[in-house]
Formats: sequence, C-alpha cells, structure tokens
Amino acid sequence: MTDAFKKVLDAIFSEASGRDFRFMEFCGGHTYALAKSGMASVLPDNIKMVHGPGCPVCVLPTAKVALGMQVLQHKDVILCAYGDVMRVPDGKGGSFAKMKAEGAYVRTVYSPLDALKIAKENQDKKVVFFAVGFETTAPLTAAVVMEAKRQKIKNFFVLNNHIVTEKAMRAVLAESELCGVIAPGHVAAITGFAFLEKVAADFKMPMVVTGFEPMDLLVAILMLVRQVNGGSYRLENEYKRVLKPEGNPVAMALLNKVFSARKDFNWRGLGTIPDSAFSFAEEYEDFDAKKVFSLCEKEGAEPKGCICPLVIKGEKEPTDCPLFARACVPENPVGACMVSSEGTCGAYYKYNRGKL
Amino acid sequence: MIDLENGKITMEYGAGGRAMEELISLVFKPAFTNDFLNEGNDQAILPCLDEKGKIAFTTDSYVVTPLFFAGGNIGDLAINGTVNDLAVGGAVPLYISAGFIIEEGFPIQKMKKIVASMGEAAKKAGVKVVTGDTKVVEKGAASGLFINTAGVGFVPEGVALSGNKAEAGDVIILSGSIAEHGVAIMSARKNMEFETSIVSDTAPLNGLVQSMLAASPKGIKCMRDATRGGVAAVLNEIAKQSNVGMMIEESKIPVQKEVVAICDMFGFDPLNIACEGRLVAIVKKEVAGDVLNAMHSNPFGKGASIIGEVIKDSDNLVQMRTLIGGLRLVEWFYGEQLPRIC
Repeated sequence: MTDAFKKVLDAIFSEASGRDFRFMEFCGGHTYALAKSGMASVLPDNIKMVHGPGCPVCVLPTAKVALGMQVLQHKDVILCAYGDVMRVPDGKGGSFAKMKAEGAYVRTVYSPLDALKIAKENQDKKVVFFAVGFETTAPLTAAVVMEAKRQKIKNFFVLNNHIVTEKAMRAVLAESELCGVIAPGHVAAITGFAFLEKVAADFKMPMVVTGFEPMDLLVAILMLVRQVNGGSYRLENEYKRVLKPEGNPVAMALLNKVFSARKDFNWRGLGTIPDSAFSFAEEYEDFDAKKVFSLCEKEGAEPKGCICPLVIKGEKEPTDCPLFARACVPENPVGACMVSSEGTCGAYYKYNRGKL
Repeated sequence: MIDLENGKITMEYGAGGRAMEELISLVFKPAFTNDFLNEGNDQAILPCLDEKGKIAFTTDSYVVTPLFFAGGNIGDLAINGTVNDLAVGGAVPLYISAGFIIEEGFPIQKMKKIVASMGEAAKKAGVKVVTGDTKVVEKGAASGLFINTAGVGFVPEGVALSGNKAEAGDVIILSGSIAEHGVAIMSARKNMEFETSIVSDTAPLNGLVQSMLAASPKGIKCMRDATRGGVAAVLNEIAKQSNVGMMIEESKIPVQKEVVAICDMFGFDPLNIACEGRLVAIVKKEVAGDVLNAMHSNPFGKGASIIGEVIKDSDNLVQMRTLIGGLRLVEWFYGEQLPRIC
C-alpha cells in the first residue's frame, strides 16, 4: 500500500465512522476493479459497496439472445458477437457459443469493425453484428454503420441492443436505498456530465464520477463520504485527468446521427423502461437486422432459481443465490451476471467467492 | 530437385518417395544432425541410462498461430516446451522426437527456417533430435504446420519432485517476469494486431533447473513451467495436489508495465497468461536464499523472486495480497481465452 493510498484510507476510516454507508458503483468496470483489488477487505465494515447494473451482458434478457438465434435460422447468415455475449445463456441451456460448437456460423469479434471486415470478405453471406453496450460502445457501432453505408456494403446488419445509461440509473435509484453513487467513468467520457448532474439533483444523490484505478475508487469513496457528511448532493469529478464535462461531442454526434431513441427496451432485472435504448434512425434502417429479418421478440423466461435480477439492482449479493458457485459457474453460467468478470457474480466468483 | 527458396510442400513430400528423402536430407538432417539420427533407421537406438536413476518421458503438440512471433517461432517453442516439461520434473533432457504435420502448399523456405530454429534450440538446450516423422495433409486439413515433440530425460537418483509435496511454510519462487509469451502471440494475431516491444520468453529451462537442484538437492519440493493458464493455473494445480493454500503478494510478482497495460486493454489477468520460459518452484524456506542465488546466476533466472508462501487451507484457495493491501482470489482461467497459444 502506498503512502498516498494509506492517507486516503485513513481519512475514510476517521470521517466515515459513526454511521453506515451504502454506495453503488454503477459501472461493471468499477465492479471488476473493486473485486480485483480486494477493496472490500481494506474498507471499513460500515461502508458497503453495492454493485449496479452497468455490465451490458448482465442486463441482456434471454429474449434478446433468442433474437440472435432467430437470425441464425436464416440461410447464409454469419452472426458476430463480442466474446462475453457468446456465453450469455438463453434460459434454455443454450448460448451462441454452444451453437457455434454445433456448427452455426458464429464468430467472436473484438469490434464491429471486425464484423464489417467479415462482411466484405463474405459477400455471399449476410453478416449480423450483435451489438450490446451503453453509450461507450454505441458510437463505435454507429461509426461502423456509417462506414458501411458510405462503402455501400449491403450484407452487413446490426442486431441492436445499445442502451441508455440515464434511464437504467433512474430506474435503479427509484428502487434502491443508497447514500451515494460512483458514476460510470467511460460513459461520462462520451456523454458528458449533464445527465449525471440532473440525476444527482433529482434524486438528491451524492455522485462522483471516477476512473478505474484502485486509488480513483478510494478517493471517490472519500468524496462521497464527505458529501454525505456535509449534506450535499452533486456530481463531482475525480477523474479530471480524463473526463471533461462536455464529454466527447464527436462520438455523441455519430451516435445521434445513426440512432434515435427507442420507444422502450426490456432490461433484465429492471423490466421494460421507456426510451431506454437506441433504435436506428430512419436513414439507417436498412442496417437494422430486426427489421430486415422480420424478427419477432417473444417474452423469454429467466432461468429458474436465478436471482440476477435482484443482484443487478443491488438488492442481493451473489452469495445469497442458491445457484452461485454451485450450478452457476463461469464455465456454465445460469444467469447473465456470471458471464463476464464485469458482472457482479462473475467478479465475485473470480476474486472472492464469499470466502475471503 | 527440391527448391529451397521458392518451393512449396506438395503431397509427394509426405509420400515416402524421393521427395520425402530430399526433404529429410536437405532440411531436417542439416538442422538436427547427430549420430543417432544419422543412422537413418525407423527408430533411434539409444544407450541405456544409469540404472540408479529414473527415466522421464513427455510429449506435447504445438499448434501455435501464427507460426512466427516476436521472440521465436513454432520450432524453438516445440523444443523448449518439451525440454521444460522434462526439466521441471528434475530430469536432464536428452533425446527428442519430432513429428511434423504439414499442410499442402506450405513454403519450403519457412519449413527450413522453422527446422533450423529447432536445431538451434536443441543445441542450446543440449538435447538431440534423434527420430522424426513427416506427414503432409491436403490443403485445409491443417493450418500451415503442426509439430509434435516427445522427449526423454534422465532423473538422477535422489531427485523426486512432485506437486503433492507442498507444505504450509514453504516459499513460492517465480523465475522471471510473466505473460510475455501470451502477449507476444496476441500482438501477432491477425484480428488483434497492436504494436508492442514485448517478445516471447520462450527458453530452455533445464540449465536453470539443474543449477537450482545443485544449490539444494533436497529442499526443492516441486517445479512447474507456467505455460497455458499461466502462473495462476500452476499455483491452483499444486494447491489442489498438495491439499494446501497459497498466499502470494501482487507487489512481488515481476511483470513488465507494458504487459500489464496490454492485458488491461483486453481484460486479461497477466497471472492467467502463458509463459514459455518461466517456472514456479515450491521450496523449503530454509533453502530459499541458496536456490534464489543459484537462479540469479543463470541467464533465465535473473528475474527470479519469492512471490509468496504456501499456507494451510482445506479449500485449496490461491489468494493474493493486492497492491492496495486487499485480498483476492487468483483463479484458473475459464472459457476460451487465447486458443492455440503454443
């Protein structure tokens, strides 16, 4: 432990004494960073970190995975997905990874650019990129779609599951009892601070936007403690070396050009939230796989016994789940929170398992 | 006549006729030349080993992609990997077999380069490639080249390393900085190309192991080379085999800054990433200093350090004290992380 770290930690111990604090880190990247550094074991017992829904695969309902599987029923389709998406359970024991093993045309990609490349190399096939993520990944998808349009590529499509941070945050805050929120750093880098400031004001919620090093998180926790103790509720920026209040206007412009607000979106654990996702703007509808393949979203069943929906809202710990580390393990996730190490269950399993 | 510059491997090079004979005599023999191989028989007839010792025998197949990467290629990897599997058992590696499965159309020039690297690696490690086999398969039935090597080594009397001997109080030694082979391979992969100065750590560890055993013939409990699954897999394996736990210190684990940065970018933990020239040793505390000194005087053990110790734990957990003083588990990797890394 460095001296600087110790100084902040000492300040937390002295300033946080005398009451309990429940803080939520919204972003899966922060959940991962906290678990990986073993932060819970150095914080005082009266500070409880609650893990939020900010892991894109965790909030993906089985019905969305089923849409991808519907696409694969079409002839000559290659489905491209990020690695974590490959293992998201469909609720019936299947996943894209399992379909791949059985011979379906499914490819793991690191970026929609890879999917576009595959489309160019396989002009006799229809290449569908299964897009997930908040405002962090949506601009890249938007940029690639624009590029596909510019190059007049006709066999590239996107099954769009891009989602809006603000709406999920409001849905969670409306239900949870929290003292403060660690706001997502990567999202804020794109969107800017305006919506976070509004959410902080509307919910009278202390909020600190921060980076992903243990020191960033520790300082953010101290800043939250100080806001709570001082009775204030505003957005503060701990991540000044990266974040600017205006965000990334270029990325936002891309996003707003290609996408528009979607009427509603069904979130795993949070239910259907109006305006909580992106749909294609009219000009780009030809890329919308849902439309092109006439996909029909059916109500999907969540796996029996899985408490992911409560974990996503921070109401339960992974270790409260009867399936955790028994039927539900990273090799064979029952619930989506176990899939990624940014998912609360995945991070718990990997770095703590309730045993440390 | 075989065209060593511009020729391609065709099916006839695996057919047992003149073409194959040319390939053997112009490509393989110059690289591997030794008395046993030069006999030219279907088998190598080797002298009996000292009857007081034991024989170590291992095999490994190499399917790494791409075939060439910063710091090495499939050829030296195939020698070093098998040499190391013998060495970490306390064996002195002696003889290697080499089986080649070549895809039709593979450039002979590349073949020559790879085989030459194998020859050099064998020389460096002090082993002889004494027998081999070549098969050519149709285009598409393999990707370029696969190599299988098997190895025989001699375990001197009194040396008995095993993963079930770790006891609470023993120290854990790591021979150098981790994850460099995995990162070098990643950077060379077509779909993830990025610029890095990191090169594979592929190296023969038999010299290092012998110097460690010489420093303390009785104090070393077990050794493993940290290949697929990285240091995390090795520690978890030994913990389970010996029914103990492990406690390591993040601050003591040698890892290059660039490796950490690249792993962060892809969401990997360096502890899960393969090395091809690093070993983990479980050593009695009393002799740790002597073993470390011996390691530091070997070129492949210069970066060796004590990274933690064996503890009592019936759950066989591998724990790590993090840089901030927190505690976390060090888990096996799961899922398809980096296929075809070696």
